[in-house]
Amino acid sequence: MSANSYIIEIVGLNKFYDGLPVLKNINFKIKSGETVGILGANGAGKSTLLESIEGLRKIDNGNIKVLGLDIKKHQKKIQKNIGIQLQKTSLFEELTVEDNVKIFYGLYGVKKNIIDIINEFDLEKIKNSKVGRLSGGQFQRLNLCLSMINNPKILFLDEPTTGLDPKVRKELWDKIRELKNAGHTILLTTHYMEEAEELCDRIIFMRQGKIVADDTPKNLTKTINIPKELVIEVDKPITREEMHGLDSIANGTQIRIKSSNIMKDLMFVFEIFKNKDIQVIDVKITDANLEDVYMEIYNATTSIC
Amino acid sequence: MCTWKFIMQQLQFANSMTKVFHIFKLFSKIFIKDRFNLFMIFFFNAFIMVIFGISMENRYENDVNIGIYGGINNKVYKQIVTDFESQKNVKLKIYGDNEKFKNDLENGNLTLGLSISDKKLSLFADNERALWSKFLQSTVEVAALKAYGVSPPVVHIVSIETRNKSYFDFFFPGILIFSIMQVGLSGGIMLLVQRTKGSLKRLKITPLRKWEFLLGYVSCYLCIMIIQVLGYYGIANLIFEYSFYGSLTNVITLLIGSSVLFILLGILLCNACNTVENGNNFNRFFVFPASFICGVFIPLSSLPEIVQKIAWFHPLTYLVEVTRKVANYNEALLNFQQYILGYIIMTSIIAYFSIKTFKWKENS
Repeated sequence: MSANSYIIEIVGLNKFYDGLPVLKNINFKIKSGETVGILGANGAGKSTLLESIEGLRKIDNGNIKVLGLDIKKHQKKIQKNIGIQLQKTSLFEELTVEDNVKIFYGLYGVKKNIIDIINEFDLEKIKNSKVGRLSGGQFQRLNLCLSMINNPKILFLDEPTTGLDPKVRKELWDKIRELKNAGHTILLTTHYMEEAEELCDRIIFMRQGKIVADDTPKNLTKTINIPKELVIEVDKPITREEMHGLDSIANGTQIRIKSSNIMKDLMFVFEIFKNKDIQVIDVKITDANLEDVYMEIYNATTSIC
Repeated sequence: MCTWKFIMQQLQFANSMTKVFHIFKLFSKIFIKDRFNLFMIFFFNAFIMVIFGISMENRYENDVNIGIYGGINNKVYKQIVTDFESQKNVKLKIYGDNEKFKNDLENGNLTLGLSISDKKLSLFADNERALWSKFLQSTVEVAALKAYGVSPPVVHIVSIETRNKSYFDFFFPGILIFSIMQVGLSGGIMLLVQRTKGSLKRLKITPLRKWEFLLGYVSCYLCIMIIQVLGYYGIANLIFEYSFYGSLTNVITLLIGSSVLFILLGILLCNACNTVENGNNFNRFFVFPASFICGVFIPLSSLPEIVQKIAWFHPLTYLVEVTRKVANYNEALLNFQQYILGYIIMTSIIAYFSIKTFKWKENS
């Protein structure tokens, strides 16, 4: 498989639960080495999509090819070469971290020294602790370690940092970034826009089982017309009413204005300040982020979903 | 080309067996680390076994098996047969061969033996069964009186040494099968716990196949049961000097057969239940009445007729009855062809459904 060939190909994927569609005509391809984030609200179908690609759920129609193999025919062969971190899962809590790693080593037939992978994921201090007694961050680190045991070509991460504190989340991001830099193809789902922005080369937005956007984070923020935000600091307190109908939030001496035309709005605001003898201390213009893109797409697709 | 294919198959088989071994190790570790379960399965039943064995030793006789040899045309013989046939717990066995009659007496297969000739009536009994010999002596004397009208022949009591069937002899084969059933079903609950927690789902996404997983699980529990049986047998032998009188091969076949049946039943229980609470309730429903009605602690014949009929709907009853007869009375397995056929059919059905309905994860 060459570097630019597609490692995952999905064509016309549909899935139903009790007659209700949960995945509707999903089509996308992922290149080797890409990190792709699937984003969407709860119930959008992110995990179902991921589990269908992993072979954990039967699909009703369409085709999924992973590593060039059909998931329906070569499920076990594919599973031998992919790493999966499930969203809702448990390991064998009665056993120690080392015991769990040993079992998965055995199941994948890995011959490497077990200590190496334990050290690689900073698990050496807790290797004799029972899994049931690990903190959320330690558990996710172990989970990530287990999904990397077979040195997989593709890594599936289903909400890997949900419920973790910011420090642990950042540590996990570093680890995922390391794996990305090592050339692994990563497909992850997340609720955190910041996470997707930090880690992903490409974002797929899902809503009610449909893909509603699929592009790089940069292109998404560029192509979708989202108002920028003006943050102006002034020397006297000002109210929202004094801004004469601008889409703004006034908080003491700070005014935040949503603006689609920065120059026009700045001129208008400066005119108001001049009339009220208000001095401007600072002006900041912030670009739209993925969260804004997500909200925009969410609102724009309300009618079509 | 064929050799290459053969080598690949062998490698694949070796790879599968490695995975089976890892699953075997996984469940062994989980079993050993669950101390409460370990206590309940190994020590609690052993404790009950010792307490029952000590407190009820020699106070029990399941059925009164009376062997009669000789005097088929004798009036006393006919009268005795008529008198005893109406008694529920008395079983008569008629012998034409004196050797066999003596063998069965010495091996404890008969509670008492009665030898009838025209001149003499002899009662053979172990000293420990003095009560029974007194009872039979009076019954025989009454029968002789009825038969001859006047001056019946003297009944000689001949004291012999026999292999005494105590309550422990009755109880031990039953507790073995009962414990096997408990382990099999508790294994099913453990499997259900792992499934509801999502651990089995984690295994499903590895290269592990269903048959490799199930084979690893079944062999692990089979091993646990073998260790359990050996432990119990050791205790029984040391404290109560118990040993299997019947063919060891037959006893082992029965114990392994029972183990396989109950392990599969455990898997079926796991598949059928959605929550651990459901599983525990099902387990209680299966185990609790079994301890009363299946002839483990109390002989079936001493239960009300309706309960006896219900008991035969439980597989434990068949297995306990057959194991007891094979282990204690050296009966051949072929004597239970109907039971064996029933066992094969039942195990095949349970095996089919337990494999077919096996779930790695909860239905979403």
